[in-house]
Parts: sequence; C-alpha cells; structure tokens
Amino acid sequence: MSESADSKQVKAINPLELGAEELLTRESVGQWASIWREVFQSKAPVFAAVMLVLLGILAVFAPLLANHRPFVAVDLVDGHRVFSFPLFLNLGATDWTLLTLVFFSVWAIIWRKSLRRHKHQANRAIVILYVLCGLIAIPWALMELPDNTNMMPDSQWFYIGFGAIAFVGMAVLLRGAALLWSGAKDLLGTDRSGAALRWMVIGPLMIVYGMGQFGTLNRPRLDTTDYYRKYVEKPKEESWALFTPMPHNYAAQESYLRNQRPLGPHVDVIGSGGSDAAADLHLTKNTRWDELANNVANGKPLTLDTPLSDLRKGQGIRQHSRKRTDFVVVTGDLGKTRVSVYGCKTIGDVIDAMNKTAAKTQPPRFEAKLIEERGIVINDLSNKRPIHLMGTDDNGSDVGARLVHASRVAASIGFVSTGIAILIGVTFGAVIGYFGGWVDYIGMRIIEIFMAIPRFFLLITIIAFIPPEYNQYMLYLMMVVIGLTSWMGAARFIRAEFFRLREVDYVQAAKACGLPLRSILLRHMLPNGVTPVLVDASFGVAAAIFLETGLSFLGFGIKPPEPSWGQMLSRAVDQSTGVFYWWLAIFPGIMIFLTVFSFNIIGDALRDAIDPKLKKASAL
Amino acid sequence: MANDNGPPTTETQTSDEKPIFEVADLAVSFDNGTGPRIQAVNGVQLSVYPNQTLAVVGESGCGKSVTAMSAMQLIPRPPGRFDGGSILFEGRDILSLSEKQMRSVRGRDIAMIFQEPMTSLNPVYTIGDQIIEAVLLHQNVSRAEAVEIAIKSMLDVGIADAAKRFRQYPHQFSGGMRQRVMIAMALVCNPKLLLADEPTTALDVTIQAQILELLDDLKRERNMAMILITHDLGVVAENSDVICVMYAGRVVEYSTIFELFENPLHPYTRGLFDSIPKLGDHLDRLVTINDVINNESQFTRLGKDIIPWWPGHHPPKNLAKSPGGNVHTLYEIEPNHWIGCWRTAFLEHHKSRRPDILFRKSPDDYTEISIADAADAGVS
Repeated sequence: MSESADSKQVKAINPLELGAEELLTRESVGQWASIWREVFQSKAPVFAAVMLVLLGILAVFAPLLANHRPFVAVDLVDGHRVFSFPLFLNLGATDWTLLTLVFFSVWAIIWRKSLRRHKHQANRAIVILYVLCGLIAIPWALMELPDNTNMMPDSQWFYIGFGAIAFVGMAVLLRGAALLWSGAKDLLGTDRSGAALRWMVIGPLMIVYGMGQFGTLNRPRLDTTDYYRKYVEKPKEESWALFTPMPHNYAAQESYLRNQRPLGPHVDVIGSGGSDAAADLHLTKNTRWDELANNVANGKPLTLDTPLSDLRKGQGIRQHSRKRTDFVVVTGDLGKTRVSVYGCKTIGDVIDAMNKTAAKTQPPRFEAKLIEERGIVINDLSNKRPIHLMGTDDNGSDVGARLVHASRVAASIGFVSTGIAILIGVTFGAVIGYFGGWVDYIGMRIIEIFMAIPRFFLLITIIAFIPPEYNQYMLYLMMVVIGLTSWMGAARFIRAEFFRLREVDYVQAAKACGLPLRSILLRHMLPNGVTPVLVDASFGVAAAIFLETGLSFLGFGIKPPEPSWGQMLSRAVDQSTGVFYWWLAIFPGIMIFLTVFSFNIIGDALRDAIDPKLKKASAL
Repeated sequence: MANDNGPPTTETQTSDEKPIFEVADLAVSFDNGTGPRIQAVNGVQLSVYPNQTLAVVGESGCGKSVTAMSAMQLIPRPPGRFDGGSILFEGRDILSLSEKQMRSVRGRDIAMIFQEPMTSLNPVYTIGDQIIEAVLLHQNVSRAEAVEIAIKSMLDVGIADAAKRFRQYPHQFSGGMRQRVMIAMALVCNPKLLLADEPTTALDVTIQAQILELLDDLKRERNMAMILITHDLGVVAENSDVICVMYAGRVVEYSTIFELFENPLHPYTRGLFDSIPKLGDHLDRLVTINDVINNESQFTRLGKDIIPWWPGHHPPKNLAKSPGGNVHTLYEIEPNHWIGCWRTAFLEHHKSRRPDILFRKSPDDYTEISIADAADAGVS
C-alpha cells in the first residue's frame, strides 16, 4: 500500500510527465501577441472583431459577392462548348491585388506553421508555388492588353510606371524566394522568416497590381450586358452560367425597378396616359408615375375611386371608342404586358381582359383577381429575376449589392485616410518629441492651429471647391483630405511618448551602442511608443468612416453610381414626394452602426490592454 | 574593508605604456531654467590604462555618471554644456568628434553598461535582435556570422543554452541574466574601454558578486580597461585597481586601491568610510556630512567655487573661478596617492600634477570564481 502511494506521489510531482516540458520550451510570445491576447479576453471585442472580419470579407470579396456577371458562362458555338469568365475578366487591378493578398495571407499562415515544425520540404514546395503564382500574373496581364489604341491614356508613362512596379515586385518576390529557400538551413531558422514572409507577400502583390493596372488601364469597366437574361431567362441550348450570390449590378439604372421593397421585384402597373379606363383605375396621366409605382411596390392594391359594387354593374368604367393600351403590367421578370380594357363594362370584364392578355404568353406572366376588400390584386406568375434581398433604390439598383460595394468604399476610406493621418502624425510627433525645445514649441502651435479648425466644415469647404469633372476621383480625394485633417491626435500621442522614451534606459543604451538616429527613432523608440497611436488609429478609422458617411449623406462625398452608405441613407426619403423607403434607411444604417461600433469597441479594448491609464485620456 | 593580504605589490610606472583614456580638467554644466547653471562636473582628472579598473566612487549627484556620459557624448546639449577640458581616448579628443564620428566610437571603442538591467533592454525585440544590431553596425560581417558572434558572446557571459535564449524576449530573463545580456551587448564588439555605470546596484548581493567576477574575468581576457562607477565601497575593494573619490563635481582623492583603503587621507574619504555601517557597532547615527549637493540653492550658489570639504581650511585667494579652470588642484602627497585640497602645508611640500597611476592588482588578489561556476550559478 505504502509503495503504491509513494509511486503515485512521485508521479504526481514530476513536472515533465505532466507536460511541463512543453511549457518550458514554449515559443516566446512577443509583446503584440500578448496585447492581442488580452484584448480578446472579453466577449465584446471578440464580437467586434468578428464583425470587422465580416466587413473585411465583404470589402475584399465585393465583386465576387455582388456582381451581375457570372463566374463561368458556357455558350454553344458551332456545336462546341465555349467557356467564358466574364466576372474575372472584368476585375480591376485593385480587385486582383486584394484577392492575391488574401490568398497569400492564408498561405503565409500555413507556411509559418510548417516552418515552426521545420518542414523544409514543405517550405520549398511553397516557394515553388509562390513563384509560379507570381509568374502567372504576367501572361494574364499581357493577354488583357487593350487592343483598342484609342483607349490608351495620353501618356505612356502610366504604362512604364505600372510596368516598373511589376518588375520591382518580381525582384522582391525572387529575393524572398531565395531567402526562404536557403533560410531553413542556416541563420537559426526563424531569424529571417518574418522578412522572407514580407518579401513573399509584397512581391506578388506588386506584380499583380502593376500588371493589373498595365492590362486593364482605361478598359471599360461597366459592361451592361444582361447576363441573367442571356443565360437564364432565354437560354440557348446547353448554355448556362454560374452567378454570384447577389447577381445584380450595383450601378444598374433599371427604371422599372425603382424603389422596390425587399425580396422584390414586385409586380408593377404603369398607367398609359390619357386612357379613360386607366383613369377609373386611378391610372390617369395626372397620377404621378413615381407615386403610383411606389404604391404598387409597397404592396398596396390598385385603389379604386368608384365603389366596387358600382364597378360590378359597369358604372364607373367608361367605354372606349377604340382599342389601345390602357396600362402596362411589368412583372418580376421585367416583362411588359400591354393591357387594353376596350369594351369592358364591369370590373369582372376588366379582370377577364387582363387575364386574357396575360394568357397570350405561355406560361402567363400574371393573373388578376378581384378581392372584395382590396380591389384588383395582380399575382406575379412570371419566372422572377433573382430577388433583390434588400430592395432597390431610386435608380433601380440593388440595395444589397450597393451595400456590399459600399463596404469596400468605407473600409478603404477608413484605412487609407487613417494610414495617411498616422504617417503624418507619427512623423511630425516623432520629430517634435525627439528634438524638443523650440522645434516642439512651433510644432505644438501648428497642431493646435489644426485642432482649432472644425474638421467637418473644413472638409465641406474643400470639397465644395472641387470641380464636378473630378467626381470620379472623389474617393481618393476624400481619403487624402480626411487624412490631412486628422493627424493631430497621433502626433500628440507620439510626441508625449517620445518625450518619455528619450530618457528611457534602453534608448540610452542604444545610443551608447553607437546606433544611428534612424535606428534609434524607428527601431527602438517608435515600436515602444506607437501603442497609444494604435488605439487612436482604431478610433480614427471609425471617425473617418463616419465622416465619409456624413459627407456623402449631405451630397458632398461619393457621387452615384459609386455606392456609399451615407449616400444610400440620404435617399431613404424621396426628395420630391417625401415618401420614406425604410429599406434604404435600415440596411445602410445597420452597416454604419456595426462598423463604427466595432472599431470603437476594439479601440477601447486595445486601450485597456495597452495602458489602463489612457482610459481618461480619450479625447474623442 | 581594507585588504588584509599584506603590503600590496605596487608596480612601478613604466614610461612606454600610455593610458588609453584620460579625462583632463573636464567641466560640464547644465541649464537650470531661470537660475545660474549647475556645475555638475568641475575639473575632473582621470586616467585609465588597458587591463586596469578605475573605480569612481562618491555620493549621488557628485558627477560620476555625468563624467561617464561625457565620455560617450551622451549628455543632451542643451541643457548640458562642456565648459572646458578634454577627454582623450587613445590620444583623440572625444569631445571634438562630430556626432557621426562619435557613432563609430560608441559601442566599438567605448561601451557602456547601465545600472538598471530591467529597463535597459528593448521589450519589443528578442535578445538576439538587439545584440546582432550592434554587431552588424560595427563589424563587417554577414547576418549568419553576426548570429554566431552574438551567440558566442552570450556564452562568454555565462548564458547557458544561448542558441535558445537568443530568440527570447527580455521579459523572459531574470535581472541577473539581463545584466549578463547587457554585458554581452556591450562586449560583443570588443571595446577597449568599458564604462560600467553602477552595474550591480539593481541586483541582489549574490548576483552582484557573480556579475563583478564576470566583468573582471572578461576584462583580463580581453585586455580591456574598465571604469566602474559605484557607491558601494565593498564592490570597489574587490574589483578595482585604482580608486577615484569624487565630491561635488571634483576629484577629492585618487589612489591605488590598497593605498586608499589603508590610509585614506582626505576627510571626505574618511567620512565615507566612517559612514559604512559595521556589523556589531552600536551607533545612534552614522557619520554624515553637511550636504550641499542635494540642496539645490546652495549648490547653485557655491557650485563654481565649491571646495572639497576640509574643516578649518579655506581656499587660497587666487583660486580660479572659471569652470574647470582651477587645474592642478590634486597634489601627489605620497607616491600614487593624490588628494585635492588647499592645505597650506601640502601646497608647499608637494607637487601638483595630473593623477596617473599604472597599477594593477595581481591575479592572486582576486577571489577566484571560475567563469564556469558563475555560469552555472546564473543558470540554476
């Protein structure tokens, strides 16, 4: 008994058998890793991070999620199947670059794990894959060279510039490949893996971006072919296509689909001007087209001026002198049926006439019914086009598709403008913080001058001076303008941090090692002082998105057909009729709220993790 | 406290050997905002030979660290200012070098160890990255070679399993190990002079001993000169060859270690020895001095012409008032023993010249702890 007890005790206190060996030899956790670990301790930041990841997926994969072009289309030409890829052929350089970034990020993560386990063979296989992927971009871009020379831009320097980017990218890629290929042997493994990883990601990105721009420069981006009609509604033999989840053109302007409720399109009745019968059915020429369409789109029946009982007796329905189109029924497949109620005496006759007209096409597109309480109700029997999940706006373009594409606009404005702001702010703050004295005095006065200007009105003023022919560059303009007016927070944080870090021992030690100023500022001071800026940045992204939304809401920002959440929101109330379309307010509103909310949650959590003292310092 | 190994064997000074590092009449002052400038260092004179340890002792604020920082030109200017004097390293005046020239001196010729190992390493980089950076800067080697050099230097300072520790972050190291890393960083480029600014103050006593032994061994191995700044006389007694006592920005006594511990001449030095608490003594108060250093208003007023404390004696009327101007105030009273004073009797009978002692303790004077032992103790 005692023996077994002893052996148990020995076993219990042996740490190596309890897996402590693994704990002791655990990989080092860097400062950032531990900060992020702390951020995601509670549930709210996790939720926010999930939301932001979803936003990122929407932004990166926007053209693959909402596009009227199919992924793959098959045509039958001379008895042969011909495959075409309309969606991929119409992707721009930015789309390709983002997709490549995601692709390589995923590979990078896998590669990093394999390196940790010293799988040299796997590393080399991945090197080959990387190089191949980089090389594939070249024939692809050459294939896409514009054959129409009239489309060439005025200056060939565009081509030379983008070609140079691609060339440098190739050099960077090969450098990374060489590093990775030889890196596994010497240099103690992980030493240069981070650098190799960067080379291997940046290189292909540069190639794809350069070649993408090279190939697609000035190519018409908006092709208006109705692929759905071509491949689904009126399919030729054995022709088919694979569509995106939201097969709609975000920039479409379909007059028959304006302001459709969610889950549309719904049946639409358009009165033909001057018809007496149409007048009886409230479809007179005096009726505002929009109002009527709105009533139908909102599911209201055709309201009748004359009581139903009178209509049954034929009273209230005027006789026609000749046969002509009284109204047009537009069904969900966007098919138009012209209906004449010539010779109708009662409401039943009207319904019969409608159904008879509908029966001319097989199968019938719609059927009309008399319902006592609601009057005439038209049921859509057509082969519906893909539904507009979130309805359509006043141009008839799909709200869902616009929402998805607008998320890219929002994310790019948020990140790029914050990036510009941080670049300026960190540089400025680092200089005035490190040198101090009168440099600091003048710098702080400049910061205070900038902070005294109300940013929103400054933005409105700047944008008001931009001529309308530059509207297509509004996105980039807003990025720059928001960036140039929001760097002061970062500058002040960095200045304060550099004041502190100047005196810190390891900076003194770095100086005593003889390191140059560049290394001291960028390698030793910046990474230690940049954490408050990171917090500022996550609030800054939210603020930039909010600014863009506000400007677009007021009509100063992104102009149609380019989508923006704020701009969509501004169309929720019809400017002329004052009708409120709830789906145009709710969906963009939710997106704005979730995005800004998530960035703020992450910023808060980050701030708590980095420095609890900063809690009081949030001046946003 | 004094060494009990009998009368020390003092080497006679040979003329062919020259000091590697000399501080001559250095005067450094700092801007005090509205008030007059604070004279932190005022006419300091030192000299160090290769493979020699010079200990600089004195209370807080007496100018020890400012002297060391001046040697690296790490004094921020403004508010600091070199009022006069020179710092010669291998015959070159450090103070006249440009920032660019200075960068090649720092780390490669003169290295420095700081007192607080917990904050002297950059928390965002691995130990290896930080050591490699200095190697790549000063030596024309590839990265792979730099890694080897760094790992070797880590092994030299007694860090076991250096290849693994190389990739760890500073927070994964204990205080003593961090100080070893600091030493490895300082010595990786084989500097000719090491400035150790209170290298053991932040460490506990057992680690202190290990670090000091380590420094001593490395110094002898590499024929390196070392300036050990401390206010721990126990550390001084065991680890230095020459000692320089400072007070209020001046050198008050300068002597070989044995000479000073046997026969401290200056009243301030005697006061320092008296202020060391001794086990078994029953005292209400330790000996103190009427401190002017930590009293800003007094120090500012007296700063320029403050004299080492010597009861009953007043400075001569013709004492130069300019900072660092009153040179040759150190008088060689006995061979290899200087004191700074204006005592008339000394002025008449002794010559005043720059202190210059070529004296090294023989290795027998060391308590031998092998580097392997130190390494083992540090790892466990």
